[in-house]
Amino acid sequence: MGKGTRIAVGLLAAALAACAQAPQGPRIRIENAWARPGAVAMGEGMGHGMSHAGGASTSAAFFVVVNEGDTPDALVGAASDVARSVEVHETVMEGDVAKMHPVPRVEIPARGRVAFQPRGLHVMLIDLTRPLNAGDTFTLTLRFERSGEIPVTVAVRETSP
Amino acid sequence: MPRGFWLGVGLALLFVAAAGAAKVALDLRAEALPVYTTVPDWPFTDQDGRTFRLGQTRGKVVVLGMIYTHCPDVCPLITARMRELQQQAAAEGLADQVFFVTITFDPERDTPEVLRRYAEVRKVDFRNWAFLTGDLPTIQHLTQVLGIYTERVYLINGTPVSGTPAPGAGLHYFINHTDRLFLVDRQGRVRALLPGSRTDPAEAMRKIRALLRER
Repeated sequence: MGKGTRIAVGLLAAALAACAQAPQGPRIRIENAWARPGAVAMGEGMGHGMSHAGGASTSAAFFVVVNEGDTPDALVGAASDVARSVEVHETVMEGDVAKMHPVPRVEIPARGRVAFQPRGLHVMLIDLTRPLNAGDTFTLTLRFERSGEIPVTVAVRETSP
Repeated sequence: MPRGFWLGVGLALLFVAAAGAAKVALDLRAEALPVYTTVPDWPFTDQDGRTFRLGQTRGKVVVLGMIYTHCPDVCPLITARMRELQQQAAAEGLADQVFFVTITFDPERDTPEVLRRYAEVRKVDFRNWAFLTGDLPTIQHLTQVLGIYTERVYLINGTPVSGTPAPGAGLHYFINHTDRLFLVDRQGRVRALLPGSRTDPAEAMRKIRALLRER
């Protein structure tokens, strides 16, 4: 092995070692994505003037966000073509009263997991553009602070998988 | 046999019989469900646009829930629990004795057609289940009778605001609400309050059977 080759190998080894020691950043994976069925009501109730969503329908998507990286991340938004508005919400029980509020940012800890599940965090699909029937699938794009946009295939079903 | 022996046997049998009677009495008392209130016989409109009076269900045990169809999370679970009970009642041959009633507390949006589609998507069997809407004062009165808390919340630029916003603001609203189911006896009286979306179907069926045994 020539001197030049040895230097190159040494530099490569040093670079690999540096890579191994450097923070990996977040590594986000989505598990068990599903959503509730939802009908589209074709304008029924639109005459009441109470809401632009009058007569339209909603659904909710649930999943588990797994972060296998050593840096935290945060879910900061979501989008899908099956709904005109997509928001992250949380249901909180106060006694036997269910209350819901928007959540603009959900921290995903390093090497941690956050469950979006019934009676808890969920992605609201407001004003559906098409019916969601059990057995259907659709794409939900989750937007993370560091990892950017991650498309997820969501299965429509009655209950959690 | 000595006379004392037979006396002992007699006393032992008497003791066993008394213990059995006491157990039956305790079981019956455990099954005796309290009376909370009577469900009013007011007219509502079902998923097909027909008038439906709650008094029509007298003579049957009724599983009653209040929901709104735009609810993304808890109300679908309430409906799912009721659907499980409907299937279990049918499996036990009780479909003609148990009736299911879902009433919306969001009548502005939940028209009969909206309710019908909501139920169809969830594969509800309409033979013993009615989805009802009505005029707002009647619905509000019913929520008061049943102790169902409701609070309309509008989202304005992502911020939840209670109350009524400026008209035509292009907003949507959600409803914070009590998560509860009711068991109503053959006389139209509320006899059990179940924890809505968290209802244990086995426990609910036990209470339904207890109410069916009452005459």
